[in-house]
Amino acid sequence: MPSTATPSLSLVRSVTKLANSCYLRCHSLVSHIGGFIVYSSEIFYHALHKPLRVYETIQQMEFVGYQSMMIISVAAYFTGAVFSLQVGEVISIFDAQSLIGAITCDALANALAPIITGFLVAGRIGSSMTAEIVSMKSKEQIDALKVMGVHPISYLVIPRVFACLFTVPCLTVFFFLFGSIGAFTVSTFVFFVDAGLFLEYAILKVNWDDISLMLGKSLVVGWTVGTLSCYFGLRAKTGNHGIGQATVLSVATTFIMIMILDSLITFIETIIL
Amino acid sequence: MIAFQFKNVSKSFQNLSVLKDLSFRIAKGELSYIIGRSGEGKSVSLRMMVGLLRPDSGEILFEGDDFLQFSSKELTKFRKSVGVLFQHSALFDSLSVFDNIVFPKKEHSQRLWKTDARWLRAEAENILEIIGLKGTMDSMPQDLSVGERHRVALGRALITKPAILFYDEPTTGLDPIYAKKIDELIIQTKEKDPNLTAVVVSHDIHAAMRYGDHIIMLKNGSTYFQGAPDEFQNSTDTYIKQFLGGHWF
Ligand SMILES: Nc1ncnc2c1ncn2[C@@H]1O[C@H](COP(=O)(O)OP(=O)(O)OP(=O)(O)O)[C@@H](O)[C@H]1O
Ligand SMILES: [Mg+2]
Repeated sequence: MPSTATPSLSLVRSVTKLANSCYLRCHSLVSHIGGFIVYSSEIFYHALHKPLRVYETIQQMEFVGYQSMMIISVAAYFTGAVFSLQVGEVISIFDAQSLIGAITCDALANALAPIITGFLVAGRIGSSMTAEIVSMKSKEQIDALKVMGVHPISYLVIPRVFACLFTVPCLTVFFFLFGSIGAFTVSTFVFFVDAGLFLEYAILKVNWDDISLMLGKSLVVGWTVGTLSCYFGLRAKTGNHGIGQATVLSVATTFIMIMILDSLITFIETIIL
Repeated sequence: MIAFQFKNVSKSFQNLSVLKDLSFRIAKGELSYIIGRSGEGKSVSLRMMVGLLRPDSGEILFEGDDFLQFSSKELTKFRKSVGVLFQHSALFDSLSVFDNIVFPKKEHSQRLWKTDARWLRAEAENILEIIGLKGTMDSMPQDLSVGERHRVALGRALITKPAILFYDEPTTGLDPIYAKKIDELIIQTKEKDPNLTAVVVSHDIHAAMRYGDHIIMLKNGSTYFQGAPDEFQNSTDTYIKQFLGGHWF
């Protein structure tokens, strides 16, 4: 009998293990969703109550904006350049190279600028915000805040969320401008399109609706990066292992949320409005 | 008058039962020492007294009121009237010594423009004089030694002139000279303000005997001894004798 019992037993074991792991994942997901709802309501509460964290927010804005400027401009320039190279190759079949500017700038404004800026800020700034908060937690600094009667959401989260909210739209505009310069370079020096024509078509295609969509998306992206980075920092287990785990979880979740929210906004904008 | 009273407080973490029916009292205006071996739940008890942890069962009374039923507003008000010195200082790494020391003062102030440092400078200088660290105002915490960081943390706890001070192992890990300095600061603070209630969590039985008004000894998560230092000294209990002789490791 043992020869037939062993495989079935191991099958039962694997199924149980799988079921258990599914249960744990669902449990963790539900607890995170619940936790995030409570956390968001606390953010709203503290955003509307004194003290105003003006000084701390400006400090964080400097951190978010200044630290990301370089990486954003380089990434934007090459994104614009490579995108127009690809587009130029295809549309030169139809002899329509003069549209490179219009197509690239349109893609930058509607899709690329908010998403890639969000990814870069999440990777560069969001991860360090999460790590900083976990480290503060490990060193009892968050407990110290609490026992001094200072709410961690008010002192740590509000300035970071508002800094992201104010700075990410500026960085997105920055990305758009540098991306357009990249496209301009390729269009002028690789496909020999007249500079005036590039600009004319680009301005014709990209109107205020596109710009406001870009800004709207970037506000959502800024909010997502700020809130999630701090959330995973505050929820993390302490210790070095906790820092690594929390940072990975925070960046991965922020990336996914940016994609989902971006798709949702695009869907609403194109289908419904 | 009694400041804090623990009644049959129990607390477990996952499967680890840390406090079991712990009961003790801390009188107002006294310097109380909570002593016991490592891992007995001294820090856990202290964290309960400042509302960072809640017991699984039992009661905690603060000045006769049910502390566990405090609303978040009441808890914030209570916390603004206490100072805590954490076991690992818990200074903010991104702030200078000056900013760390004046932090609670700034936060509790109603002024809108809190960055104007002038009105705090004099107070910070006074505190630095007391803790013996003049001239380190602009240093960063990571540039200080462990003992100095402890003193800065003590300065931060003192600046709001709290009614209750909690010290979590203020001298552990320090060399005897620094440890003595911290002990002296604790005593000085108490002597300056006779109404101050101070709770010191410590391994240092000799400091407890010398300076304490009241000693609470924990063993296996409950109160093993509670009383005056003299009683403790004259106890015939073998465990206490071992503790006094330093053979309890
Ligand atoms: N948040 C927590 N989660 C899980 N376990 C905890 C937590 N806080 C404390 N413990 C456990 O409770 C026990 C008592 O901890 P506590 O810090 O109170 O000890 P202690 O008496 O202060 O010791 P020490 O003198 O070493 O500081 C320890 O075994 C510790 O691991
Ligand atoms: Mg301890």
